[in-house]
Amino acid sequence: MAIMNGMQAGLLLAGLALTLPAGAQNFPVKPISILHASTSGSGPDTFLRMANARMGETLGQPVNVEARPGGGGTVSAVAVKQAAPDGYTLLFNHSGNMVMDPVLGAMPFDPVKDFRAIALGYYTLAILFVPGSSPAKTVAEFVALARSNPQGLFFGTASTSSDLIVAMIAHATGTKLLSVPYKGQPQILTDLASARLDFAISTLQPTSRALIDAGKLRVLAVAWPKRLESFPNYPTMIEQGVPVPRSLTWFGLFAPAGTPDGVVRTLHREFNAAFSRPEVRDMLAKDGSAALTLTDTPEEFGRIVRNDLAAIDKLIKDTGFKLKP
Amino acid sequence: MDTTAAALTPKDLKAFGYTIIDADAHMSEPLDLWTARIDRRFLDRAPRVVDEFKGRPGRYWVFEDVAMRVSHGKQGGHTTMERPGGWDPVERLKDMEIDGISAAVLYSTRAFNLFGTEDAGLQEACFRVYNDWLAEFCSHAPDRLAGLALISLYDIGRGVAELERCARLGLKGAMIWAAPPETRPPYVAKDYDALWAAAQSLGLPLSLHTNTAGVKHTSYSVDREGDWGMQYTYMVMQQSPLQESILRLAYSGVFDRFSKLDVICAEGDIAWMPQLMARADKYYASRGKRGHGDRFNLELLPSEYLRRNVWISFIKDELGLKLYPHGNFADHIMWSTDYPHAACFFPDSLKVIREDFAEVPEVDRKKFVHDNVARLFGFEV
Repeated sequence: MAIMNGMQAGLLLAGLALTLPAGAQNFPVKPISILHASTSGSGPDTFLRMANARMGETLGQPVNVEARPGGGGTVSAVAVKQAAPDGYTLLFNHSGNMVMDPVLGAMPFDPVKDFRAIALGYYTLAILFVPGSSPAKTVAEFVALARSNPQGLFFGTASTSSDLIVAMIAHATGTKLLSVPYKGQPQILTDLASARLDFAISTLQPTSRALIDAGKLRVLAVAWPKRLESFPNYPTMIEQGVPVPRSLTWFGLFAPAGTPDGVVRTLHREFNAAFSRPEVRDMLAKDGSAALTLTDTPEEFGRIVRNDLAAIDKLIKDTGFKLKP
Repeated sequence: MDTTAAALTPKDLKAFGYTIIDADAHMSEPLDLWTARIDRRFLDRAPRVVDEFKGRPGRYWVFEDVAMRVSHGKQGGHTTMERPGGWDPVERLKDMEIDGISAAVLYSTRAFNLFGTEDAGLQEACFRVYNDWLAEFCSHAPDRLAGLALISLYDIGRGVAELERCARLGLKGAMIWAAPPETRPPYVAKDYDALWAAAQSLGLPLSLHTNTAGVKHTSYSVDREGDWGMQYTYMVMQQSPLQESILRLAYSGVFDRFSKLDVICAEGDIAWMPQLMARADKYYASRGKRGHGDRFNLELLPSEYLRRNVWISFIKDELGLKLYPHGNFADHIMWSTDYPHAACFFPDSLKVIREDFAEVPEVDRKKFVHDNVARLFGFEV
């Protein structure tokens, strides 16, 4: 067995370092913080906490998850924008804040210029629900119902992304769909189940699944490119003729602009590995609120961000969508 | 971001380019609101519904010796009073969507009559019930529903405490007497300074709405039925207490001492304002001739206070939309629907805006239906 002397070992380490992406040679040498705006115990918080342990193991440094709510993500985004671009302070944020808010109004950050996209995690599902008592059993019947009602149909909403999905449906089908604001999904689903509302966009979270099982809610369509593996009985919007291919809400990892390439690639690799773990995949599938969607490269996620900014801007112009106070 | 999709069609948005905010809409208090919620000490005197009043058959909402007809569930013969949007926030938001209204400032309906009682304790108890109920209603969509509390001023200290409590509940302003009853000091009295200071400090506008001038038997009282001359005179002259109050506030130096106090004249039209401003300035200019020049001096002209501290809402005022440029107060004029009262145009408010504002410059129309009320109540757009 050959034993390397100090010089040989040094040369080997130097050679290894040359194979690592620029800036990643000594990364990480201290704990990493991932900021997010979701409440403790919520989906993003839970998924992130399942993944961070694995990231910490392989990176050799703790990866801490820190909830910093406020402004729908803006508080955490601004904090990360102002952090040193060294990969130790990261942002796990959603497209509502990173794409929709900047298109719809002035924001204290530029999602492209102020951040480096690292990795896409998952999309939150967007599913069209009607009350169990609704005469509509398909999207076509839903559209016919809306067209037969000159006043339009009412939906409950607690997010801009729901509003935009509905705007897309209304634009594509020529229907009049009117919003009623709510503070959160639970009350929307309760009121939908009692037919106080005509429809809603929501996920297959346990609350909605319980109402489906009780016959009080009905799934008409899923906004996803293909049927979900975990819920194959639910047809997509596309197969029913409504060109809404997917939810508009994703969650992904960002670093401050100027973070070195090597650090970004290291984080992308470890983030993907952590989110690919079977327990994370299983939890996402069983939870019913999200669909895992990993990207092959950081650049691919960056393209998604830029494409979504352009697509949302076009959608707003096409539909006349306007935020309300 | 707590926001929702616009009800306006792309065509509407192209036409307006901004959302429409209603500066004066109303609640329809449930008939049993006070009997169900009032402090037990006042239960026997709480407003209630009876099936007969002074030998007259029918359903009446009765408060002290005043009764208003609620037979057939209607008020004033206008069926929008029946819409559940008056008491159910989800239904209210639906009606606003249908009507093209994004946000609304909410006033009472039946509780107007409670301003007329001389029973201070009862008034405070009734107002507290209403304020709690209104705060619950508005909490469904606080970005879009701005409720105005009712404040009793028989005891100004307790009124201030209730104003502060209502601010904590999330209410966005308050109604006070349009003018105090004759038994109480007028608004020029220093007694009210604590109220002005609190409202200014909290950033809550104080509204003087028609039918709240501390008069018990309003035109809607069943005792006035058939006396059409009296009823309609009363209705038309409801702008008079508003004019008197804002003029007193301007002339008395209240607006000097509380330069950021916002006072609203609600539902009293706008056509009179330029004339009131001109007349107020004319008399002020003549104070030297009257021998008051060295004793009566304000920091600003009376019209300047009215322009700075007073906001004014209207439903339909064809003459006012012609005369308002003479008063140079376009930054304080606010359009309203009056939903669900008789004057409202539900579900055709957008059509009415297009028609009524046809001759109004676009820059001013935007101020009247959106900008001014958004600025006053902090609606974020």
